Amino acid sequence: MSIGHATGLPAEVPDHEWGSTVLTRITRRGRRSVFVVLFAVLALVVTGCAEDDSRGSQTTIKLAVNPWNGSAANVAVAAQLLESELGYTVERVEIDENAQWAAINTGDLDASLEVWPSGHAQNVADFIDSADGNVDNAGLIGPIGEIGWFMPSYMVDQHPALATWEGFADPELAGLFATAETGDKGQFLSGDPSWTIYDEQIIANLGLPLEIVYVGSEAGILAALDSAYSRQEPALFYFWTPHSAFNTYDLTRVALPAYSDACYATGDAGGIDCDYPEDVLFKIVNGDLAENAPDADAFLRAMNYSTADQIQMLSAIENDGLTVDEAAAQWIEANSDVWSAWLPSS
Amino acid sequence: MTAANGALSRIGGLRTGWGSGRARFALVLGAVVLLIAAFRILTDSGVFPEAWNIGLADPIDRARRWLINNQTSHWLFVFFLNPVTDTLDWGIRRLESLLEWFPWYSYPLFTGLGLWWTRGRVAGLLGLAGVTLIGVVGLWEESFATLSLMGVSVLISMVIGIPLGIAAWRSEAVARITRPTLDAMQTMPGFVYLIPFVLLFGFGRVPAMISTVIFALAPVVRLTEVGLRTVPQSTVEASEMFGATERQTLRLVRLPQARPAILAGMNQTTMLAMSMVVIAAFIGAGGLGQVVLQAMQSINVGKASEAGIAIVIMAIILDRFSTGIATADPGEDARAIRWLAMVTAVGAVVGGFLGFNDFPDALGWRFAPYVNSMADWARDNLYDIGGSGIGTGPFSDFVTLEFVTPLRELLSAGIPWPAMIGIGVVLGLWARGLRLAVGIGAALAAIGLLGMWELSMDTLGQTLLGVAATLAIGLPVGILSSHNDILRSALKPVLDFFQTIPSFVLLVPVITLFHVGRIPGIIASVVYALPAAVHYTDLGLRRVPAETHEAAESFGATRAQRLRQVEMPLAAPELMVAVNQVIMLILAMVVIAGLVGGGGLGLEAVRGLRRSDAVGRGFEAGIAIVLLAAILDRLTRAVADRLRPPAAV
Repeated sequence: MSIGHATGLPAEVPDHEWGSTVLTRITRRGRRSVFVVLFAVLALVVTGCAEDDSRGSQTTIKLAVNPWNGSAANVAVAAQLLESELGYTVERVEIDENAQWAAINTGDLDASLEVWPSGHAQNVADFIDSADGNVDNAGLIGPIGEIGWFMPSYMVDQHPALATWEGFADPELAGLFATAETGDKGQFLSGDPSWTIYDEQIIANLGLPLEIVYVGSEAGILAALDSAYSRQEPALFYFWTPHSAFNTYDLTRVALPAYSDACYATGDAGGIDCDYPEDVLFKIVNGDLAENAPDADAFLRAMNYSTADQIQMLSAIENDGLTVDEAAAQWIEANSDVWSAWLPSS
Repeated sequence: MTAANGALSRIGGLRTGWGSGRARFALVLGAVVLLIAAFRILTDSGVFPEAWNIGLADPIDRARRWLINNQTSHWLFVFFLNPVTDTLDWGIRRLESLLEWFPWYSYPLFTGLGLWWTRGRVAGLLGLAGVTLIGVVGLWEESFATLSLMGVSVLISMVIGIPLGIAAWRSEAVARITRPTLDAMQTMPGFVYLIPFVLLFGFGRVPAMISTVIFALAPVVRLTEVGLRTVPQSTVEASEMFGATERQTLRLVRLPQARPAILAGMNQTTMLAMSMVVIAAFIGAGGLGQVVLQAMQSINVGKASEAGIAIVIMAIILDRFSTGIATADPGEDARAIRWLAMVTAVGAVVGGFLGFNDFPDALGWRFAPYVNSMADWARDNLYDIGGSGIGTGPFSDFVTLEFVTPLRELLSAGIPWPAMIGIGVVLGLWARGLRLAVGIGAALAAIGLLGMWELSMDTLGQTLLGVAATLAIGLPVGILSSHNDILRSALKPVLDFFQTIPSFVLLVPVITLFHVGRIPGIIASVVYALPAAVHYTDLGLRRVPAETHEAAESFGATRAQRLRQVEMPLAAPELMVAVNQVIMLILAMVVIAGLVGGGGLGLEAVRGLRRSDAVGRGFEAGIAIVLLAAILDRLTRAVADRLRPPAAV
């Protein structure tokens, strides 16, 4: 008995030819399978269209998660309570904070729980204030954000004058922050363009010898800070609290002239020469949620806790290594008196 | 002997070509210097006048507002866009859950068998290990989200692209429209149209898929067209002789003949699609891109590299598999592979019903901590090695002060804008002729009219530096690799890694080592473009026919002489293709520069994504990038054509 028979190969077909016959067979099969796939797609299209779109009482709530832990913590608390106390199913959708507005407007998403007003004036005008917009301001979430100029604390320790903006008016002190990009002037790192930024006006109106470098991303600022901090080098940048970076780096805020409404009224004319306003963080919901899922809507509008509550969860996540959901569960366990007030009285 | 003579005469012919080129170049240079001098005297400032800004931003922002206002009510949405979106979304989700249904072990096994079939045993084992590694680092579910999004994107690209390629092959008029449109689609940064797409198609998978298709469509159309064009006339005539209709000839002769080219197009489309994974995550597409973005938020380099490497593995497997299909020859292993495939298929279905779909946690292992400590070590030790003034930090400062800043100042203010347009026109005239010259002049003027002159010159400067750095590294490496097969195969995985790792993963370590500013962006783009430079250099030099080497040697040329005087001139057109590819790839990274302090057009495009009142300006910046790319592309291609010797008979 020949080897060819033993392996089931027709003895008269040389190996390589056998391979190519199989190959043609496979590719022929492959061509057919392309049609099968196309047909399947077509079937999907047909059935997809047939899927009914009736909106009775909505049972799934879609919440936007923006890419920072504070947002994730708010959503985790809301999601766990909506599911355990009110019987909804919650879908969490990770999405950019700017892109979320259009999705909430159409009802593709139902709510976002931590909007920083300073970065969204245009969105508020288009989606909330405009008659055609279908997004509602659902009240404050509680924590208050502060934007300002920050530097590593060792800079103030070495040069106490830098604690206030007057210190930066001294070209010699400002020159400490100079880099190859900025020449003689001190470098000011301005950040993520999704934020409203007045640094150009502030620097010009206070007459500070600083030059702005736009980093363009939060990760970029953090990496620059990390690099400078590791060598105890100067760094001056736009930043905000609450933020997880304060767990890792000892940072000090530069005292700029105090914020006033009068000062910001000059913003359009380029006259701002004072510190940023407080950012009172708020929630947004789709305008139809009250009708489609009244309990969820009432709950999300009522939800409100303190900066300390949020920081407690952030610390559990960032310092103790808990997952967002573990931290939220821990907080829910200990604070029933806070969240029970958010439940709609039935 | 005749062969050697032919080769030598070709070299001789080329030499004279170079000589006349040099004379022309001197003329061009003279004209440029005159232009600059003239305009410096005539104008005070070199910057394009702001008053001439035609402002495309306002109409775009008005369109955006219209979309917001009509998103919930207009018939366009209610009866067309929304059903289409829902259907596509449903399809991608179905595919995702289908992929999740199969047991975890079926993926490494099928990948291994597929690669064994197409590329041999070693590739099969590596594929098996690679897929397993994705599960081991805990990115199993995220990979399915990415894979199904990519799968549907590539499928739709094929469904649109192949007919479009056929249409472009049939009619020159169609081709004349599709070519520049595809170029623009490929060079327009995704950031610019993400927000408008969210307004049109909602958030998540569908706008992500459409963005991916837009970016990745070009190769399949182009290569279908090229494939059809290169079908030998004799085959077609034979088919017509047997009385086949035109349709039959297309279906039965031309398309099968063009199959390798179409497959190559599909391969490139898949690779381009894979580079959109992270961008797609910005609008809620989830998957591996989301992991990268989240890791960036807490500058966790290790976590970002885990997801980045999962993307690299996926891309390389898809690449190897799709390039291998056309030449697959499993030989004596065929039988074994078919048996194993059948066993695996049965095992997959059984396991699917039993529910072994999650990757077992017991096999989990993370390499993130090691990457993080490596990154910290690099930050602490490479920035300024031993306080000697040598290291990444001082290097970055040196390059910024000596090259980047002077070049930016020269381009944006030192050379007045009319002179810059003049330079473009003269270069166009020299490289091809009047039409190219007019085109370049118009494109440069359009950039000015959009109010993007200064930013564009900043970006142009960074691009030129990036190209110079890439070629300075890529050409020598390519030359070495063309002479050494071992080096070449050792380089391949390294270059593949650089080309497929998402740049977002590199941003944090690059900033930590090289400061915020223009340098990190340039470095990220050099990393991205380097593989192409090496690849095309290697390819160009290897195409130099062996008989010319022999001829040169018989005349007693040393190796260096041979390289400089024979191989490089003969490979010059291919090297110009390398330059062209490098420029295009570096321009594709302009947006990344905007994320690390590079400013320029990139920052404007990023703003377009991140700020709703900046969508219009983001678009203007995107158009400026497209125009810059078009200018540099046409110019380098024209130069490549000039260098090509007249077909030797």
